[in-house]
Amino acid sequence: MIENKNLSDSKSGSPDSFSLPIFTFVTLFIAVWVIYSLYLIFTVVPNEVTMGAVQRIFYFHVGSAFATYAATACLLVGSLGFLTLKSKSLDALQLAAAEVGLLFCSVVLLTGMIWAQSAWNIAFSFKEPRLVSTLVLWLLFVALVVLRKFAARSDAASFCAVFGVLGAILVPVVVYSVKFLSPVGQLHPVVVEHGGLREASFRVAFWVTNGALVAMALLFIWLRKKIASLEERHL
Amino acid sequence: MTGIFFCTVKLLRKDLIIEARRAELTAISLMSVIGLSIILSYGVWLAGISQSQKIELAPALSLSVLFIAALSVISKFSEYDEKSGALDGLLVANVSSDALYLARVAAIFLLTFIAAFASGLVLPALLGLTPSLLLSWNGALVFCGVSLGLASLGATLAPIAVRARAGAIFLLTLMLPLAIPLFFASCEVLSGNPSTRDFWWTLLAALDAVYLAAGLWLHPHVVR
Amino acid sequence: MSASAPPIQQLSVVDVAVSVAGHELFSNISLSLNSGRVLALHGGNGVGKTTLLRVLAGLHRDYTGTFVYSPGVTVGFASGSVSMLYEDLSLNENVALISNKSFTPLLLSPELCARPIKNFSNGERALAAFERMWVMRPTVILMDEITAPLDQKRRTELFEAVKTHAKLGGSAIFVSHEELPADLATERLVLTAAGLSGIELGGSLA
Repeated sequence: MIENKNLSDSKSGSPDSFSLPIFTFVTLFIAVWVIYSLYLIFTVVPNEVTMGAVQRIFYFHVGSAFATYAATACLLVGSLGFLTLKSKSLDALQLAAAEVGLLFCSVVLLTGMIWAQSAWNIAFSFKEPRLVSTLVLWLLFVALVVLRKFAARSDAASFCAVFGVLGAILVPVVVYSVKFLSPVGQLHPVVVEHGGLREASFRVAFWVTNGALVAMALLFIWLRKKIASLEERHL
Repeated sequence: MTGIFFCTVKLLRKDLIIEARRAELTAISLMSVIGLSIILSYGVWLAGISQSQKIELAPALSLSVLFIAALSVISKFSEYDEKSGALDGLLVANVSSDALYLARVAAIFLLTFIAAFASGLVLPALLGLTPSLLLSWNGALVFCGVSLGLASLGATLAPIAVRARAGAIFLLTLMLPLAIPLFFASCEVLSGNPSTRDFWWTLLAALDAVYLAAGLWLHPHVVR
Repeated sequence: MSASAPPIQQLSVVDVAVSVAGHELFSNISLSLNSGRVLALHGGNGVGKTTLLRVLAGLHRDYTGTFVYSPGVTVGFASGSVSMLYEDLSLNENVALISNKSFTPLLLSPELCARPIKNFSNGERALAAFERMWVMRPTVILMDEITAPLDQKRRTELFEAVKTHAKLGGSAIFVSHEELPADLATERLVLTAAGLSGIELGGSLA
């Protein structure tokens, strides 16, 4: 039986399950987490021996990178989910993940370039595959956000989901293939794997900040998803 | 499977017949190759770059030219589909989406490879280098890899671009982030460090496989 | 159409609605199409007749509601304003893309079928669109203003072909601004933003 059913309304027809108390609690918790990580970064961890105070940008840089990957994972889930289930909720997730991913990827690039300028006297180098792969990822997010604006409303969800899948599956191919390149000649420090965070306070600040930024990204995605769902309902 | 194969061949034949009758795509892509090669070569000449640096620069310049030529081919094919609702006609007749995709990839690949061959001939000549720099077996394989990757991406993304605002120009925005790894891998194979050449070959092949397979799965979602 | 008898109910549409750019075009579209039925669908300009037909043909996906074709039912779509053909190719070449069987045109001359579509007049394009749809002998045929550019002779020939199709158990939906012949249409529907209203004209032609 050839049955054509538009499933998109099946989810949006359900009552709004947005719970203010839960949202307030989670937001406050993450806010405290972020403040605590800032406290650790600026008052607890000592200055790094070689780079001094500038090294503190490392925590924001790496944490934002993890947040970007978390957003990319949400992007993949939302895109794949929309293509298979045609759910507006998953389209909203995809939209939110793309915008939040762009935000945090911009932070990764900017902090990376600031750190690179300070450490190597060049803001950007094609010699460094991680910088280049982050730039590619940033371009992907830009294209996704622009596509959402440029595509016709009836097509935007499908098109963004298709592009989101392509982009999201490219990310591990490119980013993790860098690990197979010889580190000789590369500029990017490989700190954690090579046991660079020997001081306990460095390690604590590192993981606390990573967690805080990832949690913040997921909160932003959740919030933006809710806004997108409400916008869709009122259109 | 044989049904899809014959359907793919029919659709590929259709694209090539249309191109043979209109003679637009080959002309546009070759003019792009020649025009861009002249501009880039002039820039290189103005900069007073040494011969050895030109040899290192030639693959990157050639691939840039190839990218622009490929974009024009890809967007034009999609325009043919959208014109008069021709693609809708095939979809209503339940023509296999896989066959549509594979035929389009093959058509774009053929025309892009012709542009690649032209850029491998014209650009070195304008730079004062021997054509064998790019027109070697290694160069031909790299151009095949890049052409296949661009064709797979183009066949998936062109239907999106042609229906979005700004159309063909938007295709550049969509393809660029996905094409950049292809170019980097290709440049590294042609003029990079010989010790990492195997890695870049593997990356190029992996990207082609990913784009082709993903495109095959995603294509039904971008056509009506 | 397949050799076995087509099912009685061929299409069921329930509560289909379409919005365009945030504005509801139409809603509450429910109908069923049985063997031998020819529905004439009328309505004002811009009310969504073409969009409804494109939804039923599977060409327009942004809708809510459901429509179901019975097992074994195939669908054909032809438009009088958009040929849905590759205009650099001939009709023979366009047909070869979708069918391996030899093509004998119903309404056009074989000589015309060998010429590129881009050299056709508007009426010939409409007929070419019909011929290409007709090749597959679909059970349900959806026609959007197919007769608008045709002369009276061709119009009559096309109506006869559809009548034969319905007598053999097929069905059709005609979108048209003009009245269909009394012995062809079995139901006349008018599409408005609020839905469909209909006048039953006669029983099945099958």
